[in-house]
Amino acid sequence: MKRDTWDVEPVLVVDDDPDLRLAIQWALEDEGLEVVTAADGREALDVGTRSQPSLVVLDIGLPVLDGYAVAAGLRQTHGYAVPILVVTADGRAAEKAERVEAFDYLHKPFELDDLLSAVRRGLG
Amino acid sequence: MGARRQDAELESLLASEREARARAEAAESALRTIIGAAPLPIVSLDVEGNVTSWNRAAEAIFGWNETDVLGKPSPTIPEDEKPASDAVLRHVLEGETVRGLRRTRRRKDGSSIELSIYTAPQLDAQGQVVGTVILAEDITEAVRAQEERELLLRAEQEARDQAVLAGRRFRFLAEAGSELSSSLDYETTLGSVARLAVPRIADWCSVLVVERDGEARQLATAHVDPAKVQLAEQLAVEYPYDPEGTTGAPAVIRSGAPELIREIPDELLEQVSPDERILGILRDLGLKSSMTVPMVARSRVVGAITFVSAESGHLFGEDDLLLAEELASRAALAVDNARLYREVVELVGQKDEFLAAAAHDLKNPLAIMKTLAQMLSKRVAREETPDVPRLLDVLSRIDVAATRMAGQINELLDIARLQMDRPLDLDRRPADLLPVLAEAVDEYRHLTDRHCICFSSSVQTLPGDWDVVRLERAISNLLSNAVKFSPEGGEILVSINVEEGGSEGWATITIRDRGIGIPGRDLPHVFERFYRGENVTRRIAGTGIGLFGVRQVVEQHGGRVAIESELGAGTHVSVRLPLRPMDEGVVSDGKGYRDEA
Repeated sequence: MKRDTWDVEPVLVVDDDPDLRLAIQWALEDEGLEVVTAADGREALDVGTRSQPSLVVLDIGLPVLDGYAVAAGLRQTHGYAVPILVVTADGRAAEKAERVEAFDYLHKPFELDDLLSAVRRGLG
Repeated sequence: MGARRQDAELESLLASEREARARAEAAESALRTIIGAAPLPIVSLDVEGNVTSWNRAAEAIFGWNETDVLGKPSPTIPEDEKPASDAVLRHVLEGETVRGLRRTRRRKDGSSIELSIYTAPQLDAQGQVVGTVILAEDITEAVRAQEERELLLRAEQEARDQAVLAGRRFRFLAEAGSELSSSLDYETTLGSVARLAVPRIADWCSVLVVERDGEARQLATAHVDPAKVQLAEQLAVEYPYDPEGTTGAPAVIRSGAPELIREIPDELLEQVSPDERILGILRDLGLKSSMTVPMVARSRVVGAITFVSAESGHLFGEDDLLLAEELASRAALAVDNARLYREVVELVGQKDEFLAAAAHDLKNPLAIMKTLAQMLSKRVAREETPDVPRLLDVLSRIDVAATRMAGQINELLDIARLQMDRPLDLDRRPADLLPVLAEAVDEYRHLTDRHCICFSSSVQTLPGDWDVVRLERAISNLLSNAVKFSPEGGEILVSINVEEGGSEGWATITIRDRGIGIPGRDLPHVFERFYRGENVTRRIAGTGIGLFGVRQVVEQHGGRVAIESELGAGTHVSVRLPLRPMDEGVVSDGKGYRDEA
C-alpha cells in the first residue's frame, strides 16, 4: 500500500450531500488523512471551532448557516491558520473563494487528482 | 251804401269761411281716406289712453273692429307690457315723439305680433295735447328672420366651440396615450398623465392603483399649484385611504362604475370629512364638481382616477365623463401591460434560477460518481489484492448515485411538463403506499440529526392505484420542506390516518413541523408555480416548483393538498388520497390521467 502519511489534525469536509461527503471522506482517508465531516453550517462551526482542523473542504450553499458564515466563524476562532478549499457546484466559484479568502477552489464535478493536489498544497 | 258794403264784406267772410270749411272738410276727408286706406295700423288715443280711432288696417291686423275698442284701452297690450306702455303714453302726452319703438303685441286670436311703433302727440286748434296718434308697422317676419339668423349663428358658434373642444380632447388623449406608452414604468407615466389633466380637464387630478394584493395606493396627485399638491399628499398620509368609503375612489373601485357629482353639495364635504379641520380645508379649497372613473383592464379594476374642479368653477357633465372614461381605459391598459411585462420578467428570472438550481443539483451525483470511480482506480492500481467487499461497496455507491441522477433527470422532465402546464404522465399500479411513506421518512431521519421525525400510522396498509415514485417524491418534497423550514431543528410529525366515507376510503397524510412558518400573505400562493415565500427567498435554497409539483401529483391521484401555517409556529400540510381496496386487484388503466398527457 502506497499511502502518504500526514502528521496533521483532521481535515474537515463540509457538504450537505451525504453521499458526496462520504465519497470525499473515503478518497481523503485513502490518502492517509484523518477526516471529520459536517452536513450543515452550524455543525461545521461546532466541529471546526471545537478543535482546529488542518484544512477545510467547504461547500458554500449549506443549510442553516452558509459557507460564508462558516468561513467567518473559522477566521474568528483560528485566524488564517486554517486553509479553506472551496468546492462548489455553481458558476461563481472564484468569486466565492475570494470572498471567504480560500487558497483555492474546485468546481463540482472535480477530478479527484485536482482535489488531492489542492489538499496537499493546502497542508503545505 | 255802408250797409251794402257791410253785407258784401260779411258775404265775402262767409264765403271764405265756407271755402275754408270746405277745404278743411276736404282735408279731413282726405286724411280719413288716407288713414282708412293706409296699410299700417293707425290708432289714436285720448289722454286717458282710451281708443278714439282704429283704422281698417288695425282691424285687419289685430282682429278687433273699431266699434269693439272705441273708448277703451287698446286690447292689444299684454298685461305685463302695460306699465311700459303707460310710461310711453305719458312721455308722448308731454310732447315727445317716439320712433321705431319695438313692441310685442297680441292679436284677438291670441297670437303675438312684433311691431315697430311710431307715436306723436295730437294737438287741438289751440295747441293743447288731446291725445296721441300711433302708427304701427308689423315687423313680425323681420323679427322672426332675425331670430332665426341669430339661432343659426349661435348653433354655428356652438358647433365651432364643440369642434375646438373635441380637438382639444383628442389632442389630450393623444398626448396622454403617447405618455402612457412611453415607458412600462406606469408609476411615472400615470403621474405625467395626471399633470397633463390639470388644468385642461380639471383643477385636481389624482390617480389610485390597486396593487396585486388588493391594496389601493395613491400614485399621483396633480394641481397647478405645487403647494396644494403638497397639502393633498400630507392629508393622504394623515388620513389613509378607507377602502370602505361610500363615495369617490373606494366606491368606484368596489363597484367598477363611474361616479359623477355635477355639483358637490356641502353635505357631501361634511360626510367625507373625518373631522372639523378637514372639513375646513375642503371648504377652503372650494371644490365645485367631481368625477371618478374606474381603470378597468381584462374585467379587473386596477385603479381609479378622480377629477375635481374648484378654481375654474367648471361643472362636469356627460361629455367630461366620457373623456375621463376614455383616459382611464388607456391608463388601465398601460398598468395591465406593465404588470404583465413584470410578471414575465419575474417568471423568466425564476426559470433561470430554476435552471441554475437544477444544473447545480445534477452536479452532486456526478461529483460522487467521479470521485468514487477515480478513487477506485487508485485503489486497484496500488493494491495487489483488492479488498473485494470494500470494492463492491464503492461500486454500489456509484450505482446509487447514477440511479439518483436518473431520478433527478426524470424529475426535471416532470418539472418541464409542469412548467408547460401539462399533466404528469403518471404510472399508477395497485400498490401499498404505507411502506413507501415509511421509507421516505426513514431516509430523512438519516439526513438530519437535529430533527426528530416521528412517524405514526393508524393502519397497516394503504392500498390504492398509486404512482409510488411520484408520490414518494411528493412526500419527500414535503418532508424536505419541513426540515428546511425548521432550521432550529425540532419535532416533525408524520401521521397517517384513514377515513371511511362513501364507496371509497380516504388516506390522510399529515406533516407537521415547528419551523419558521409561512407568512399569511404567501399562504394562498404556495401551490403556484415558482412561488417562494418572502421569508425564505434569499435564505433557503429551492426552485419554488416543489409544492406546485406536489399538488399536481396528488390531484392527478384524485386527492387534495391543504396547508395551514403560522409565522414562527410551524406549518401543517395534509394530503388526502382516495383509497381502493387491494383485494379488488384492479390493474391501473390510467384512465383520466394518461389520456390527458
